[in-house]
Amino acid sequence: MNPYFFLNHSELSQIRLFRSSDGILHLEQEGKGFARVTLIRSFPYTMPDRFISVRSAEGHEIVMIQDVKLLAEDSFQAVRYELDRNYMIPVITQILTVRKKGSKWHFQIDTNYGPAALVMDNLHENIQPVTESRWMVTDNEGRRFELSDPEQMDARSREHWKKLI
Amino acid sequence: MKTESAKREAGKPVNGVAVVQQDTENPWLRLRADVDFTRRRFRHYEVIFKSLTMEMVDRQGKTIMTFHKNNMIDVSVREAFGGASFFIITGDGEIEAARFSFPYIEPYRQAVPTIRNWLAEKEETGVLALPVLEESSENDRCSKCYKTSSSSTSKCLTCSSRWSMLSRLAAYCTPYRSPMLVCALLLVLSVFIEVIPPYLIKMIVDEVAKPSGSLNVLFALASGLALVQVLSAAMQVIRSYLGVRIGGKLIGAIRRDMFGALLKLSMRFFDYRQVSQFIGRIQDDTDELKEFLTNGMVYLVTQMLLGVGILFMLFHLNWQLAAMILIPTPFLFAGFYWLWNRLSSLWYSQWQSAMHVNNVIGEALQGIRVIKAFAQENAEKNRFEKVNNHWINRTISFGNLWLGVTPIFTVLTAVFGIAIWYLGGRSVMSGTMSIGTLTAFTTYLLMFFGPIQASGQLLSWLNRSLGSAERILEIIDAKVDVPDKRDAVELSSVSGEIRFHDVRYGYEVERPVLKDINLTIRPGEMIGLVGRSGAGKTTLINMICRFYDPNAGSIALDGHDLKDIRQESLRKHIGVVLQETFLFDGTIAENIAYGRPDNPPETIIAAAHAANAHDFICRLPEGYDTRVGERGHRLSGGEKQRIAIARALLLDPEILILDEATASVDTETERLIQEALSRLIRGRTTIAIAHRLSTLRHADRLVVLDQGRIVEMGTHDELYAKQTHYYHLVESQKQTAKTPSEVG
Ligand SMILES: Nc1ncnc2c1ncn2[C@@H]1O[C@H](COP(=O)(O)OP(=O)(O)OP(=O)(O)O)[C@@H](O)[C@H]1O
Ligand SMILES: [Mg+2]
Repeated sequence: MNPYFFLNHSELSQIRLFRSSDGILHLEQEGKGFARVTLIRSFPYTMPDRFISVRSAEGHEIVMIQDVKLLAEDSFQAVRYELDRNYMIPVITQILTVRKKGSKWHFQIDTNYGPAALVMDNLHENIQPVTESRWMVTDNEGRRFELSDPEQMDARSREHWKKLI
Repeated sequence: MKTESAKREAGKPVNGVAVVQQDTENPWLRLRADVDFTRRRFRHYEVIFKSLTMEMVDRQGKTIMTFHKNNMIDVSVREAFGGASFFIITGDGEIEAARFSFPYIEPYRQAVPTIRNWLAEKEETGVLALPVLEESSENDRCSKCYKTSSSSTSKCLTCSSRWSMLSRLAAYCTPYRSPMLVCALLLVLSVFIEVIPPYLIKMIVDEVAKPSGSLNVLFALASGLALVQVLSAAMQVIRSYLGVRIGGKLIGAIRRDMFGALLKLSMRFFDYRQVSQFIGRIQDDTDELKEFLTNGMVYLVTQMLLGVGILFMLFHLNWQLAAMILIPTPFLFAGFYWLWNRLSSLWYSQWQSAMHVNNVIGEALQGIRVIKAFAQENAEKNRFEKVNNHWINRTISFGNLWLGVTPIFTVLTAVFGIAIWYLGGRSVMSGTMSIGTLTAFTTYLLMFFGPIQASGQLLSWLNRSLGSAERILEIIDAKVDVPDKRDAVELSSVSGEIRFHDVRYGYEVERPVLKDINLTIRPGEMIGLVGRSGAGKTTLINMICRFYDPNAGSIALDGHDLKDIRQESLRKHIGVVLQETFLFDGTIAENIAYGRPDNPPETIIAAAHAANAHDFICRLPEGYDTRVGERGHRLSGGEKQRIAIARALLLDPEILILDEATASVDTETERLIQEALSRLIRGRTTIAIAHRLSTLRHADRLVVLDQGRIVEMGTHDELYAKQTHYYHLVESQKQTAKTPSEVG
């Protein structure tokens, strides 16, 4: 491990991330301040809350947050807010209906962003596996949804899912 | 939406009276958004622009938030993963005004310059000279139903139903109309003939049972029966003969169209797909379809006609008994409906698992060297095992379906048959029916169960073929992202002036790779394109070849927008040596002459000479006849590259594009190639990319790209003297060159 960008727990709780009143995200670390920092998830699907790369306005990595849970509360909130804005892929929580009309597939789903209706030309291209139990669903308009761990969904959703993939 | 203090601040200046007054005014721009960013939920609302304000209005027309123009300094669109946000920059800072998913990004981007103009305008001018922006371009809509057509197909599928799909497939049969008509005629005839024998048998039985039965009549009836069998066999032969012939040609035509469609598709289509799948798809799906169009269709029609014929005979013989057949009919149809849906999803998922198996095989074979080098044979085997098992499970669940359905059919038909025997027998005993009629009736009934039992299999067949047809049409109809316009021009000769105007492009819309590219390349100029890895150099030349169309802005060759030039004609004038060279299966000579197969050997050798490939080719025992490509002799990276250079040179193009053309050759060979190139570059517009910056020293102009933007332009000396981007690139290269370990 490179000690340069992996911080230990006490160091992590020392850094401070906050949004100033003008809406800009700042990072303070050991007395040094960085304005307009951006956050990048290293593992957006598998570990969304771990290994967050904090980058300066120029795009250089300043620190790597191993786990957002180790941050102080206010920093945690600021990070949460920023990540929510940067990553807006809704996660499918339920598959309500699946219907094939003509050659198109119509899905009614529920996501953590609320219910949505998808239309897809086919499934073999619009539903792509990302990892072992995680799929990326793209509808005809190009909107993307994440479906993780179908076993966690309710019985009806699982039933639908089993028939699809 | 919850408003933060900053937002309220910005929204304040518009007092109640003003808002009412504003509301009556027509907005000049409306932009849709679909994410409520404070609650992180989907919610539809609009950002509308009026002469003095920008407002967020929800679906019910209620204003959520208002910003006064005076408070706004600037606006911007910030891309996120899966969508974007619209920001307003005020004196107090930045405020997120709207958040939206993918489909809404482009309208915002296009609106930004207009909104900036609006902000720049003085409030007093009053009259707005702003164009009302169209939110979505009309050409995306289907001409029939006006729904936005989908992204991946050119045909609007909302109005294309299954039947129109069938009719398109039937169009493939048009050339074979007359033999098919003969087929159909024979079919009807043979069905008719097939219905005859039981009736003859009835007459025989009745004749025999009659006390006054005549031998002559019996003989005539028996010979009639024999004749019918012979006729039916003969027709079967003719039908099969025609079927095989038609089927063979038909499948050829469909396969040809599918391959043609694949080649026509744009790079974008292949960027996102595993290509190995198409090998299987071209073969299996067309085969499936052919089977159906020839045998399946015949079978379907025969069985249907036969069913109708038999039904007619049954009613003719004894309508009371026959009417009983109608009792189970509704249940049958309900069963079919259930079966149909079940089959459809089963076939599809089975097809998908087959495709996954194909993909795993294809990928493993493409990467066989890496697999072996990392000793990952077992891991790959496991991967295969997994998809293979999935396929097996699918096949088993399919089998299970039949396992459940077939006995039900058998038992039902048997019970029904027995009931008829019983009821019919009673009628014979009571004298209301002859034995012959009962015999014929039961024979017909047994025959009738044939089509019924077959119908399950037929449904499955039909289902599978429709699926195949759908996927074949998916490729044939796939939208070409860079289509040729109908009035596209043919360029016979070009001088080679290339002009980029405000070009923006991203492989994914939310992540632009090229931004604000403005560049004019003069005819005959040599441009060196430099920048860090991933800066967008290859993307830029992809745009010149029109492998992709820009998201915004335009590229012109000799003043013609690339979109107005026929692609074939455009690429004839461009010679490329790509970063990854590909040699086709064939001899070296054929590979060099790839663009121009009719070249005489002299020019091939001359091109190889110029590319400094001649010597190594001569050292090969088979010389220019050495087979390269998929099978046959393997060449080293540098050797392949030199063949690619020779290929480009032979084309004698006005525009030469070299993407890392000399990356995998030693410095000595590079010098020789450089020499050859410098001779050939003369008089051609050349765009060369090289990481070894020394290679580009002679370029007329260097263009430095950084993160998709042109950051510097000028000659080597100018840029070096400036001591910024280019200087750093050169210096860092000098540094690595000095480190002994890197050189060795
Ligand atoms: N087919 C593609 N689909 C999606 N993204 C792509 C594709 N090709 C390139 N990119 C992305 O576009 C960016 C620019 O790539 P490009 O190939 O133009 O870089 P380059 O300047 O040629 O780099 P190099 O010097 O390494 O060849 C990269 O970030 C890359 O990830
Ligand atoms: Mg490149």
